[in-house]
Amino acid sequence: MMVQQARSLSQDDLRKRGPGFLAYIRKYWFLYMLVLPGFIFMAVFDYGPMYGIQLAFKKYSPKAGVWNSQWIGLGNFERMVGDPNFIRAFRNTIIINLYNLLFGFTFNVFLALMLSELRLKKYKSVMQTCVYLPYFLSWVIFSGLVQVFLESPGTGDSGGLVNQLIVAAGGEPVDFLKRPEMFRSILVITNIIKTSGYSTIVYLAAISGIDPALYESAAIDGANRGNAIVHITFPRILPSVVIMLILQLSGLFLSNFDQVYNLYNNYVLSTGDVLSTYIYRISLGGGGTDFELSTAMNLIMNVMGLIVVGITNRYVSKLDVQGIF
Amino acid sequence: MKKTLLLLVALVMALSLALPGLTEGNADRQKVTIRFAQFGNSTDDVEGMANDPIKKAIEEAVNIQLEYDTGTDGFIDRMETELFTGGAAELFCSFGETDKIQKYVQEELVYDLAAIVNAEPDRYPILHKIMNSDEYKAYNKLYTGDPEKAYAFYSVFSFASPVYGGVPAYNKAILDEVNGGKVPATLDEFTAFMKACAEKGYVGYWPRNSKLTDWNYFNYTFAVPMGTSIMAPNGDAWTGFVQTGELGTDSEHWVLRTTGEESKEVIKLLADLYASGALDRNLGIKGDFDDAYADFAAGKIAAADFGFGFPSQYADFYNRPWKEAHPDAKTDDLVLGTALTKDGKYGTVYSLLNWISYHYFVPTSCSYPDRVLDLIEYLASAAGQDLIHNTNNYQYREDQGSEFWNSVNSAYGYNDGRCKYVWFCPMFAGGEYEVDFTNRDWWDASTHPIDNSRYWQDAEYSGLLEYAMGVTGQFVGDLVVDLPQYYTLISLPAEATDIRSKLADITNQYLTQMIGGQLDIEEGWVKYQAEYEAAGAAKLEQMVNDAIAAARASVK
Amino acid sequence: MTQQNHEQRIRVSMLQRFGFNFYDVFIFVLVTLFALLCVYPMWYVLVASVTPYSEFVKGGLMLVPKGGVDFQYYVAIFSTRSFLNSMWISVAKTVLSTVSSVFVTAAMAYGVSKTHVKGMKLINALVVFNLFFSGGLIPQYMLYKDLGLIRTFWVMVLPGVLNITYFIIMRNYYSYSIPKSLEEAALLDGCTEMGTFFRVVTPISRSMLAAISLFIAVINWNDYYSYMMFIGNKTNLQPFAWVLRRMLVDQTMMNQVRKGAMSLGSQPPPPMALRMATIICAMVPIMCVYPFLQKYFTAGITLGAVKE
Repeated sequence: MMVQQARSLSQDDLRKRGPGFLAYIRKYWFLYMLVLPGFIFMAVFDYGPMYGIQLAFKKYSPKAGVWNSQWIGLGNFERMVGDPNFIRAFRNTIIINLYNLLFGFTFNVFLALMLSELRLKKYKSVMQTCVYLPYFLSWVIFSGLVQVFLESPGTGDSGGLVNQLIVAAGGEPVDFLKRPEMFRSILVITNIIKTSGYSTIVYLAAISGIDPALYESAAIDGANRGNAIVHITFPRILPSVVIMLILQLSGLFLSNFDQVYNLYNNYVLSTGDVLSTYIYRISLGGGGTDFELSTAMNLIMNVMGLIVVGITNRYVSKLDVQGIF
Repeated sequence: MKKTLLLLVALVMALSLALPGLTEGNADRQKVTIRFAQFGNSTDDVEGMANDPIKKAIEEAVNIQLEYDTGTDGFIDRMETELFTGGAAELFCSFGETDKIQKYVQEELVYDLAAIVNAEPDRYPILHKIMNSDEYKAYNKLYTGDPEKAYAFYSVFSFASPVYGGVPAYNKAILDEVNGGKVPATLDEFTAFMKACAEKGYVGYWPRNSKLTDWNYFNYTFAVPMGTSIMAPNGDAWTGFVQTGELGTDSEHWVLRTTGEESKEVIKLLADLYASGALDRNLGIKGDFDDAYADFAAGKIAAADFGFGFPSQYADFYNRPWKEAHPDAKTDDLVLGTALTKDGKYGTVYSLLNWISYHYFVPTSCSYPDRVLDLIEYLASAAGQDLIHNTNNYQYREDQGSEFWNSVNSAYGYNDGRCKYVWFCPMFAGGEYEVDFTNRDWWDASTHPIDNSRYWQDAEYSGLLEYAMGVTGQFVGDLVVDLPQYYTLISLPAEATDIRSKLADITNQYLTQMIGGQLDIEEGWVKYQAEYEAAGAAKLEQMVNDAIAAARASVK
Repeated sequence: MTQQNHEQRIRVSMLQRFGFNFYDVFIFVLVTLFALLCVYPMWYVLVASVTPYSEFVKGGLMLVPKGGVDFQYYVAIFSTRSFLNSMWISVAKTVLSTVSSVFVTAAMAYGVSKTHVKGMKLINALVVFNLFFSGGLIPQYMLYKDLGLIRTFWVMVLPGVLNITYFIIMRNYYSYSIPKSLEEAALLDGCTEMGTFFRVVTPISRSMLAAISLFIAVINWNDYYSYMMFIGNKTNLQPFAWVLRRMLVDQTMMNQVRKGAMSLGSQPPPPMALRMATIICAMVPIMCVYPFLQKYFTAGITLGAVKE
């Protein structure tokens, strides 16, 4: 009720302007005050750097500064397209993200359903405690663990645990971290272990909201538990699944710098180098100081990402879920 | 009143002009903070740094506040990023490639030090002498085309003794067990030894490789005897090339051999060694200094590269990983190898006797370059050199021994008994020796550095040094060809830098995969060659030969 | 209370109807296996880090420490000076960032959740836009340089104060999870907007705020990116996460610790063992807050993520 009053008030104010506008501000001054600090931080630290995007179209001269450097049109983008390392990183980024979508995402849903099907409540909560845990460890720690486990045996030492097991089973040890064809799988699997548990939270919340009576009546109708999952549980978490899917799709061109940077090495650049690591290497990270190229790449990624988000968000708003905008 | 004041001011000015020595001491000058960035130290020990007496003495003498900055991976690029964004250290080191320096100059990023020095010769007597020497001006001309403008302080690298980087140190116990104590002398013997080690459960050889990004030691040990080079043309202008004419004459001609057939044979050999476990299976993952050295000390690796080939590095190698792990070690637990021959011949390594290593820049973002030059002037003087090299008027002082210096330097990651300061040393001599700019000219002093190390070493250490020098001396003359001095004056065009870094990338990628067995060598080599050609290898070869010819012509 | 009983009754009846069968065993095994996969690595490292090296090199599953418990690696790590200093930096950075971030982000999220107020929708769009569009690394660097933040402590705190991800979650929470009737009643009772926010909204969103504080704290504790990118090297500003990373990948750091251990009179510890002990050291603070985090999972976070 109050809300509606406010709304009609605001329309009046719009018509009147002048003193009404001030009155409006006075009425809501507190809300504006609440927003103000965040607004300032946003303006400075999120929008502030955007003036630097012009570097993507310029040849940077430290003497002239960002504003007065010379415009060179699309020169940097031409260089970018002609750079095989960029193409490689671009391809890797998309492939890795698609893998994450295909395997990681489905596994998350699967895991949530599995967890919800556990009968013993105590045991279920223990399991949840276990699977959420890795999410809170940094990738630095996690990559340390990965190395401890996957290290290939050197002469005189037995290598990581996985290779010890392989050898014990009579197999040949594998240089997991040096095989380009394995690196993406390692990224996807470690990503699953680290984030799957946490990702189930959203689904489990949706599942816990389902009225238990539905299951009961289904059981009376003679449905087994498999049927119950398909016909009761899944449709009810579908909105959550879709919104998570869309969120993940919108990150199609983004890559997990933290994960890749901590795990990759020279052997696996061909399949493991992603855009964020490549951008880092050519600008600040020891492979040169190509400011313009790095900015141009970032710009292209953002624009493409925005297009995907724009498209997907239209589908979100059609669903009965809260979109991100 | 006003008149008296004016008079006073005039009097002070007149006095200051007449008696520069009296009024213009560092103590009277503005106290400023100078961040000094040097490659490769550690700055993790806050407390140790705060208590460093040498740092304090320098700060007091020049009346400044010093802040040390350092790094290894990506350090040079960080320096450049900071420079390009206007936040560089007041005094920082970088490598001087001509096109790089020219860009700095064009963008007005660094000061012309000569101009500041020449404006006040009395304030900077030593720098004035240095920067007006003919040799210094020759390098000015090389780097920027103008002999009168010195945009950096150059550090000259000179060897005090013969050096060759491709010789491993052997674990004698393993050598005895596998090879009856015989040091492999030919490439075939060496590879046979490596494989025999693998069969007995040891890694045959650990070449230093910086996680498979440094191919120098693979090159020295395997490619040089086979008469080729597997190095990407990055680093020295002639790296990756082989000489086909006669040095120093018009017939000299360099050919890029990185993707040649002989190099393919080298890679095949390495892949074979890797597959058989004779090379460590964890190449590319393990670090050189921590992991590999620890494995060597633990008796898992039969032979390992101990450094760039300095005798002192051999002694350090014995002391650090080996003696640490074996407190009752004896010096003959390790055996220094020899350069390998193939078909009775050594290969050829091209080297310069002295060259310019680091450049030290003062960025234009610093508002008090004169104060930074005060610091350099002080350190270049006898007082400064005495302070950081533990001498009195260039005579080694016995009263301040390893204990003192270890306590100072351990804050920066060094406690190996050296009796000299780890900061600023590389600034005046690439080999970190003391230099006497007071009594000698710049080039003369730089190429005749004073090596104090024999004073602080004990008998065991000196013995190790002599041993290393003796072994190296036996073959270094047959192997290392000194290039004519004009090779320090080679200037490659900017485009070459691009090509060179592309080629280095390609080499890292292909060699890593081919040696690791992920890429078939026959098949991969064709692609490797094609990528080299596409990236401009032929063009680079032309540029290098042209640049060398131009350097040769410039001295005639 | 009664509802719970009701639920229990239904569960029991389900159990009776469907029976405890192969299906349950299958799920039980699968979930248990995955949970083990998540937890076992840490257990392995914990056991390995206290196992004497001579035992460790023999390999094995490390289910229990063999050959005694040995804390020498931890002693070596904690006698390294930069470790303690970096702990302080990390604590300061985490506390400052978390407090400011939660205040600023929550206040803004609440304001923006009142979409009927003019301008809020626009501001919301402006914030969310940043999730997908940023200036990029170099423009950020240049801005921080202009603001004089490069190589200062503040570059690790200020840029992250407004956390966009948690802004969205909090905004959704305020929009959908606080009963509208409560706020309306408060306003009708003559409570001002300010009074409503502090006396009505904040108390009931306490658990959400607590959860998000912990999440943000964990992010800040784990952050080394801001140091690596915008400070590069400054000894007394190294956060713990950076020291940890260096212990894992950078040999100069490792050597320093090993030398420190030698000056304590012991043999230089093997790098792999030190790495494991370091991993454990880095996990401890997280493990300390983890039980609290978990308590709030369902209470706070999820309510904001999906519309009910």
